[in-house]
Amino acid sequence: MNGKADEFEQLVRLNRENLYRIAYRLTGNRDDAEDLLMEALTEAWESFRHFQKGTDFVRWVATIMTHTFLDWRRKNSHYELVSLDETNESDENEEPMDLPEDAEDPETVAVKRAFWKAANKALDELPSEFRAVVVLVDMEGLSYEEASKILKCPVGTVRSRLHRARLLLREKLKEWL
Amino acid sequence: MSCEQWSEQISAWVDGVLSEVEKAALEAHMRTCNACRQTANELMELKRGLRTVPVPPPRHGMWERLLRHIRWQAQRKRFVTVKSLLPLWLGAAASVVLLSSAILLLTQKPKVSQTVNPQINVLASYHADTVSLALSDNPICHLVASAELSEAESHE
Repeated sequence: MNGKADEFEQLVRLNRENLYRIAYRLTGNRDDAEDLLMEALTEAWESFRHFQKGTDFVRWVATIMTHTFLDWRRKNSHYELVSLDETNESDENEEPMDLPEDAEDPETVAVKRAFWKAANKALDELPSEFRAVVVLVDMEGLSYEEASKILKCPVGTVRSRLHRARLLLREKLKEWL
Repeated sequence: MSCEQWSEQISAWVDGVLSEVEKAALEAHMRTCNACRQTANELMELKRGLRTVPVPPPRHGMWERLLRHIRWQAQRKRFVTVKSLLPLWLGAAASVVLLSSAILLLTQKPKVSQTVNPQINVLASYHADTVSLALSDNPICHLVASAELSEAESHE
């Protein structure tokens, strides 16, 4: 491989946990997360010659990934339904990556698991644009400005989408709040 | 302002992005409004809860598959680049060959008179068809050619 490809591969390896986490949170299941990463990283590699040193690689790929995800959803209306079914069947049996390390009583663990399951379902039911902004701001901790750059929309749009998304999530998760 | 109108402000307050003036106005309202206070608490709890939602590990071998795919893409791109330049190289080589041939043909004098029977030179100046007849193996053609030759000589 040439130097540019080596450099790209190294950046992917260094940031793989962050990249996968964003892909998973956007799609809600591991198979779609892998497909999303595959497509986004392929596109990222093709335009890697434009990547400037000093740019945040994760943000750069996250931008491609978010728009790829939104395009998928726009093009394929079946996608949301397929993902919904796959999410709960294929990922439920797997041990989550970041379960609390401290020994918690089984009841607390059970409540947490029930909340996570409900939260994942509620996220799956959100319109894609709302899900994207919730993932970026609420789950990834980005500022409105950072999210607006990734989503390529005004800060005001981020703010109103986030608010509407939160109201929808609050309705669905009311018993845990 | 109704509670519904305050709610977007509450969402921004949860994120700490309100201006000092907006923040003071909202907090003053919340001191007297139970519904908005409850909304604020729920949105804060929602935000906190969403961050705890875990991410399961990727499928086994996912990164190897992804990186293999990227390496393949990189190699394919290089191959495609070379492949896309191939017609240019072939075109250039073909042009050189054609040009060389044309120069050779133009600079070489025809040597027909040195290799063909001198009689045919006379024929060539008269009629090209007669040349064909003279060169033919068919005896009848030779007879026709001889007759045409005689006629040509008689004209001269």
